[in-house]
Amino acid sequence: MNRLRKYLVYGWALMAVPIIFTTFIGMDAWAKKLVDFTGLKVSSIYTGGEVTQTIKHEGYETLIHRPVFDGLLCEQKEGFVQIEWKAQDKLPELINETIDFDKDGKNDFRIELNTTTNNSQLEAYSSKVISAGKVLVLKNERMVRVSLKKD
Amino acid sequence: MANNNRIDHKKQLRTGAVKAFLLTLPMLLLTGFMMSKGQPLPKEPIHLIPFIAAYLFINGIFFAMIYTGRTNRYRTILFVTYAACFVLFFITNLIEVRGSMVLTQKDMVQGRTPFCHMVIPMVIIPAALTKTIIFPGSMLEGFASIGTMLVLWFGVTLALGRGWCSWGCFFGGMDEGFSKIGKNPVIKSIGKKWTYLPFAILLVIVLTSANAMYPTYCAWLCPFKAVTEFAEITSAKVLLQTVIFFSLFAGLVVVMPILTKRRTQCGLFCPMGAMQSLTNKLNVFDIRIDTNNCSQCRLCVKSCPVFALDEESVRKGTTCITCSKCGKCVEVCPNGAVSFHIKGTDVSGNERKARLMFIYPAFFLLAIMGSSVIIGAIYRVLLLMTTGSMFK
Repeated sequence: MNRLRKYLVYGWALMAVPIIFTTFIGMDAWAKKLVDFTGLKVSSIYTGGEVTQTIKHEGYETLIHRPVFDGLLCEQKEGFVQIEWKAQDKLPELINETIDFDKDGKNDFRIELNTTTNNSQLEAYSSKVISAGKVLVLKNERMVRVSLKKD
Repeated sequence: MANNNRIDHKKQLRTGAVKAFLLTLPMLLLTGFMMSKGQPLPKEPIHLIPFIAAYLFINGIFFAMIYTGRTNRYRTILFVTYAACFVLFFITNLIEVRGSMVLTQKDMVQGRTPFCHMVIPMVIIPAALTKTIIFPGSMLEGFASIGTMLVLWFGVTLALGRGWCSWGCFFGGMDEGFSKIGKNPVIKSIGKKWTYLPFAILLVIVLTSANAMYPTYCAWLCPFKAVTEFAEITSAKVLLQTVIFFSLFAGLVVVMPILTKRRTQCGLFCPMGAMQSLTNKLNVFDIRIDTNNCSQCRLCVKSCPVFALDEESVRKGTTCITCSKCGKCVEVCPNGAVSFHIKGTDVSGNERKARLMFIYPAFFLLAIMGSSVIIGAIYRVLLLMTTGSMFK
């Protein structure tokens, strides 16, 4: 028994170099396998969640993400919905849009965005909508997170 | 008697020059392959010089380690160099890619935050329950993606346990470097209860992160934000967080290591270190004290950089769970009673074999991790010298 234990522990100790070697050599492949196997992804709290609606306009489009209330065991009381405006070339100077983020047929808020000053104004039509966050400026793109609360 | 033992022990770990060179050959091959990534050497001097300098430096360190039998002394040189180069490499890289050290909300939304191993304890529970990672990085793309860092952590943990903290962590060398300033400690003793603090911090950050669904340690407590990246100051809250980062860095990574001559951030604060300590239980390498040769002089207890030895553990012939396998206690023991050990084998008679079996994987890790940042740092310095700017 002692002898077998010695073989096992020396075997493990000898495997330490190959383990380090294969970890580094196959790091990208292992990482991909890990992600595929576990289905892990970055939390919607950071990515904004999946896009559920795309509204086409002349020269640009509006992307509406799913409302994010993600919590550990259950949904949180407060969350947000991420709205993005993307243009091929250049966004119009003024964007004024009414949004129905939960697709219930009723507009939830109207948002006015000035793409030069990057200021936004929000008019809530629903009690679920709280306020608009800071406008994030990306190339030919603007992004706003609108804070929400659960009914 | 003790002196004779010490000389015998040092002699036992020393190796002749030819044998030391032969034992260095595998490392020369392994590091050559890993550093070059199997590709021909770069032709431009600005890339070739850093490569050759790093290769010779790293393998010279390994040769010295084998030849002299001194593990910790040479590990420290490379480990501290690695940490210093990491700061230069990382900051210049960030400024080149993103324009500054400041992490903006735009970077976070675009998943451009490099994932660091310190986040791992905080992502485990949300990952298990929601299959999501509560960190604004990328799963597979870009520099230090979440997937690659998780794989790296798992592989190293399997091989070395908390050896990660003294052989792989790019932050550990910072407080170790500052602990080398000055000769004698001003603060000679730290109460045992403080060594439990990292476990308390670990518990708090794991629970608060799971509850809040964001990594609370990164947001509020990480001292290394001061030398890597920190959030754009847009509110009083972010300003307070930044003040905390800099204060913790100054206190735990600079001032306290100088005063105590220990790695205070690693031993008294780091929650990742606490988590790695738990993995020591599963790892095959440890440090053992031959109680028959131990004279209870407490030199090992006084000098352990991460506070992993106390009277009780010495009496039992083991280290505490928090041992990071740096080898300092092996070097300072006047009786040669402390040695690297492979669990399940006899303590005496196998010291040399166990030490070699440990330092190959451990040094190999340090060499791979260190080489890329040392090459990167030398490259930036050369760029500065030749063009007047550290950026392309």
